[in-house]
Amino acid sequence: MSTVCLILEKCALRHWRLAWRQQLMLMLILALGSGVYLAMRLANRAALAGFEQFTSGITRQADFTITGATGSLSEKWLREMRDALAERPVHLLPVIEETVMPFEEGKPVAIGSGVTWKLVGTDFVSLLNVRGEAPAGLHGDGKLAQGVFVSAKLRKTVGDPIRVVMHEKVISLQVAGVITEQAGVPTLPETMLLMDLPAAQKLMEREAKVDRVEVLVTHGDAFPHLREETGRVLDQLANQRWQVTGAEDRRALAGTMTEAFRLNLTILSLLALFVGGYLIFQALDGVVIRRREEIGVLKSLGVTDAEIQRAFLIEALLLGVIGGGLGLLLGWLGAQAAVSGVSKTVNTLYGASSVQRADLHTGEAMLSMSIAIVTSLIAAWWPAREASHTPPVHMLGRQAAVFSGGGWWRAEWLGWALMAAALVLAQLGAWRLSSATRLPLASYVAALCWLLGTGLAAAKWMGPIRQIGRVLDRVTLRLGLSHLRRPTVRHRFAVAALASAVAMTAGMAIMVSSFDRTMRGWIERSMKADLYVSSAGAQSASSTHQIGATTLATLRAMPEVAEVATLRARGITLRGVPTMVLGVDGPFTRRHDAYAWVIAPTVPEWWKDGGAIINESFAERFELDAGDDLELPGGHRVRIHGIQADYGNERGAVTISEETFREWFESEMAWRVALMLKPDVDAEAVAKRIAEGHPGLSVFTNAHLRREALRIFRQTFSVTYALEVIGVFVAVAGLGLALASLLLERRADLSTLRSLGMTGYQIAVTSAWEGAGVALAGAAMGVISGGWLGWLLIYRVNKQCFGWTLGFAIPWAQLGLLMLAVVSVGTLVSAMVGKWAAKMKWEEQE
Amino acid sequence: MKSKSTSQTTKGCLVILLALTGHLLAQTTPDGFAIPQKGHVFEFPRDHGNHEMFRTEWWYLTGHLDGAGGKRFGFQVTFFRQAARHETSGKVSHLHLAHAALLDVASGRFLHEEKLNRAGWDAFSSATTLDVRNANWSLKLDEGSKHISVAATVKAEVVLKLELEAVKPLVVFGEDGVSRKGANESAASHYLTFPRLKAMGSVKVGTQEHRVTGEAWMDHEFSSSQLDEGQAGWDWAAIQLKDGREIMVYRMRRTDGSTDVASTLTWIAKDGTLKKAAFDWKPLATWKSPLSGAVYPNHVRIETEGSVFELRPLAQDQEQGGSITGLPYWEGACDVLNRNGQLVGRAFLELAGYAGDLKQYLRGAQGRKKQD
Amino acid sequence: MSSALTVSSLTKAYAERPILRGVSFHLAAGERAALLGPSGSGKTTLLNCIGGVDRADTGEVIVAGEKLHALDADGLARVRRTRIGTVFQFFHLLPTLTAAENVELPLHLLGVGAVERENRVRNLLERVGVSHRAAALPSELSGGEMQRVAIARAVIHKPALLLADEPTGNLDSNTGAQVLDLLAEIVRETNAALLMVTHSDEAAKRCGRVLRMRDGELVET
Repeated sequence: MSTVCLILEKCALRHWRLAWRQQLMLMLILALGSGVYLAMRLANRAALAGFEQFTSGITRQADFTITGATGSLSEKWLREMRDALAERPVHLLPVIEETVMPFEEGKPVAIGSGVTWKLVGTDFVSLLNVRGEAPAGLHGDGKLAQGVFVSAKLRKTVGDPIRVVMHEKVISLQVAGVITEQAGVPTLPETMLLMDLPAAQKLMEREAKVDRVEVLVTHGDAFPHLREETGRVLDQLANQRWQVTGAEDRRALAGTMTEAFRLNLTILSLLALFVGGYLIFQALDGVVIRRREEIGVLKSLGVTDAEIQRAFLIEALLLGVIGGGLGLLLGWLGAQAAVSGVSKTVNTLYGASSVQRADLHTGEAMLSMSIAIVTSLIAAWWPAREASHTPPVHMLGRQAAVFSGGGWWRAEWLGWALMAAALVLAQLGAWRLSSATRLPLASYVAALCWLLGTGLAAAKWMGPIRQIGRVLDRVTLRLGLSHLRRPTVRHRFAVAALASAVAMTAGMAIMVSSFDRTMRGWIERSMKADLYVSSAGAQSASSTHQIGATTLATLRAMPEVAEVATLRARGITLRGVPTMVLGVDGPFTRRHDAYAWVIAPTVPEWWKDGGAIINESFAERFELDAGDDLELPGGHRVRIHGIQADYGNERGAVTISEETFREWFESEMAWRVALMLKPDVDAEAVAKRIAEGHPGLSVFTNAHLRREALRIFRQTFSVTYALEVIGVFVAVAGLGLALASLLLERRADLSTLRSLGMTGYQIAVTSAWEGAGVALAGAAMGVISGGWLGWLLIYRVNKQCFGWTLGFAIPWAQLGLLMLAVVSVGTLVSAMVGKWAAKMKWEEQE
Repeated sequence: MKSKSTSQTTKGCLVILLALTGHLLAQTTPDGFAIPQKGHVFEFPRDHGNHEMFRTEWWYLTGHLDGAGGKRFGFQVTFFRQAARHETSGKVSHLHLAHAALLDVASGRFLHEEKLNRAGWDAFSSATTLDVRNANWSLKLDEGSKHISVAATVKAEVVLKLELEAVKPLVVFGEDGVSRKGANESAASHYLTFPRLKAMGSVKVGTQEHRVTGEAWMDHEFSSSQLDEGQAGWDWAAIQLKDGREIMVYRMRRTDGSTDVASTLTWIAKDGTLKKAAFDWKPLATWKSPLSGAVYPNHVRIETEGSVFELRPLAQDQEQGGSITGLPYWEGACDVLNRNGQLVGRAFLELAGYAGDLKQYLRGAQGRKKQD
Repeated sequence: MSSALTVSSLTKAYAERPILRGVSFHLAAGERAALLGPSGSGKTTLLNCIGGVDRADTGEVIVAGEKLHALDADGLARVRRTRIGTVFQFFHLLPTLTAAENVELPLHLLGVGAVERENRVRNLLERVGVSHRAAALPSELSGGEMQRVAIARAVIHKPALLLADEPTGNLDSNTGAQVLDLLAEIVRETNAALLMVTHSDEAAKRCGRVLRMRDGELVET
């Protein structure tokens, strides 16, 4: 062991000091790789936590949550539950809630960017029994009519007014108390307004109803199996009226809902790591080559193979530790930046809104460090082995040593084989994990094989590119590209990294562009009304805001309005999974051809006689098809007549007629209203009038709504773009690193060229051509392979995850730009490396 | 003469009217709650139920239980109802408070719990019969068997399930149905009691379940003001003697510690007849609560009609309540010894008003809860 | 006869250790000189200074009329491109270029057209006897073949001065002799001056003059 330390001290660290720029580069790559992964994890977790705030409770985590199958729970049912539980010490805390939006006079809010708050009503007296004593701030003097308790983070004082939009009304509340943080008690999120239950029920006009019950089981020796018993009792009593979910289930639910989105993020972030790993391998292997002589000397002095190998691995370990440490910092910083982007997206898609801080937990930090260390060790393993096999110095020839190990790296056939495997795997369907959680595992593996295969096969391009180079008779070009005649493993690596990164980027670009094109088409088709009206608080897909019957009547009565169509919606839980039931004006949809059919109904009036249509997400999630029967909670049966394409949400929806909806769900409120105006009416003017008359409503003209829809769509993918850039950046950096290694190894050749009279400038240009060749090979392969990857993402991954059918659209301009960018930057980096190499002194050590 | 008789009649009517009005006025407190009236006819099972026109009401069950192997317990389960009238809307809302306590005599372990719920689906009392609930605790009269069942828990440590059968008829304390507590007319209550109930059931402590039998005492008292000016609280005892008689002592305590003249001691004969008697109450020892700091004189000597009864607590710390209301009190199982130190019966002793502001609470102040 | 190479009072020291102590000599066009001396005597340093690869501390080097000390890096590169050709002990052929491509490189650097380059390379390869290996990569050539290619590369641009650093050091005696012969012929044909650093007395005998270096000083014999 002491020999190993000696080697490390006298050789490795000395090299580090001399070639500190290179070491720094290596560490940066590791840091970037693990940092990006960490950033995405943290941002993910923060988004999930923000979302969970809305599914978790007010007290400590409840043991169970009871929610209604079709909406509210009646207080009569609560009495039943209590009777069924008999003397069991189980606490039942009723909760009612409604999403509201903070209202500011004269400030119109674009969809998706308004903050969503929750107005939560719970029995304060009952809460005392759970908490034991009232938390600070929960005293108040109770004289305030609509008193709410808010988090200290809102910086309000008792008596301050708070105005919110609930449904379509603007309501004035007053702060009755401020709740400060207490040790050991989960803090009140700043987006939650707490009210006493009776007051809340009155305000929400839902007396004697609650939205959920938090069940807390008291633990003690006298009731050993109380938790299970309680769950069982409550379940058995349900009789389809409610469902009981355990704490893990709720966390899982939050996870499920955001799963697809988060999975996409994770996959992307792994790319950076993947590419980074490639590059570390190269760099470390280059290190072995350069220190060959030194190793040879050590061997002659009697140092064993094992000691050499160990020294290298420890060096790699150190690299991993430092890189990983840097990665923690980068990752944390990146997460802070990403978290608001991710949260916004989650908010838009799912309605979670509170932006959480992305905090670093020890577990995550360890994971990130381990990733960096493991990557470093894996990447170093082969070079370390090579190093230990270096012959002693008297047997070292003077030829430049080219790392020839890993014959399989030269096997382009392996690349093609992997790609073929990918094609086969792509034919497999999704893997259903639990009810409605589908994991397109086969497709992800196919994508991975395809990327790996692309990398290996990309080297094939280098030959033809060299041939193309022969067109011009420039010495620097010929010389530069001559290296592609027999590409070294280092060349292969660089091409592979570039090709994979570009393929991934191109694939994502194609997917996004296809989404874009399909969305536009869908918007064209389904948004035909002149005006769209919804509650101003309806910030996202999961908002509960509605428009009341009075307002509807007012809208109908307006002289400029020709037709009014309402969309009613109710969130339900089907087979344990949240989804939606929509109620529409059937004749209206037919008149205006509002649906893009994936499977058109055979009966023209599909909404009659208990008929329904579903969207693709629904069909995919619940494995239903046209012609199937479906039972909705509450015992209502429908027959599915058709499947429509709908990109509005990914929770899925089943649509029935308005009349049936009103009958089954007893609601007179509408979620959205579409207005067709009479000819020659100024839509903007009408919109303005409605908005002025009803401050709690959002009114959008058709044009405006389309713009908003697209804007939201783009926002959803904003994080994706960032990751793509990082991936390509890492690959291009790797190209630079590869070339630097190559040039260092070609020191002898460089001397030769100098002695032949080549100027420093010419050497730089030669290197630039070499880099350009490699970059072009990588980019070309990447773009082409990205085409198939895009297809996979669209027709397999997304179809299996979300169920959407998309049209294929290739963004030629964007892809061209990508290639151009990669090649230009690659060339530039190579020129810089060449310039640096040219400046090297003759026979310079590292 | 006719005019003379008319004016006399008119005067007569006026007098009657005045009297009536004055009488009516004397029937409610300033904030509109009923004051117990003499001559009230009690009907059962209706009067086992709640009386919401009165501000405060409780159903108070205490008792001693014996199990196998000499196991001995003292228990208490109480359901309170407290009304409050909203200042602006005038609406009356009710809060239900409940206490459960168990003393394991052998180990001296005293477990207790307090619950508070607003009247609603989770806490209520019937207006027509005895049926009181507070979360998972219940007290019910079975119409058919006339048995009363009680179920209560102390956190998840203790489960108490008993069936009670009155072995002596219900008694109504006070004069003409009204039990006076002070000089003021409003300081009175209707006070009904089952002085001896046979108890049967089970007590589970931790994982151990014990079948138990014993005797219990149940009070049902309702009023709109329990304390008069100058009163700080009360000391109360319910004694069940082995010879089949009971004694109920209600000592109203003035703020200076002296006994208010309104205090009473009532003998209950074997046949259920009541007889009031004078008495002397002397504390023999005190215990200071480490939790509330109150000093409870929980070992007392009562002397009445030539008999001496020493109430010796089975454990010192039998203080309970207050975790939510901030009003702890001492309610403890005691042995009753005669002047010769012989065991002649069992009792429960209650010491109220030694901590917190009892009067304030009973007047319906906010306490620690939020009302709308 | 013009002077191909003039070295005047060249001194150079590395870390205060003097390597060259006032070296002076001439080489006329067509002249062949061998530079002998024990290792550490400064032969390589002298060669590097003459080749414009290193700079002396004091003194002058004039190659075919070009004053090296007056030139900057690009100027020196130009001189190396046009006036000097070098043959190395370890050949130093570019591994990714074929024999023909290696040989044409100097011409390519000078901007000579493709057709002319092709002709001249073909002829020269034939002259040195490796035309059958024109398309081979250096990894496929024998030591002797590699040196022949190297020689071809060194003279294809008709340099005034040919520097040879231990040209036979890596070859067996037979091949070495052949290579030396070839060198002598080529130099005669092109009228270039030859300065050959060598250990071998055999090689030295083939040259007209013998210069000996000892402790940084030049002695002619």
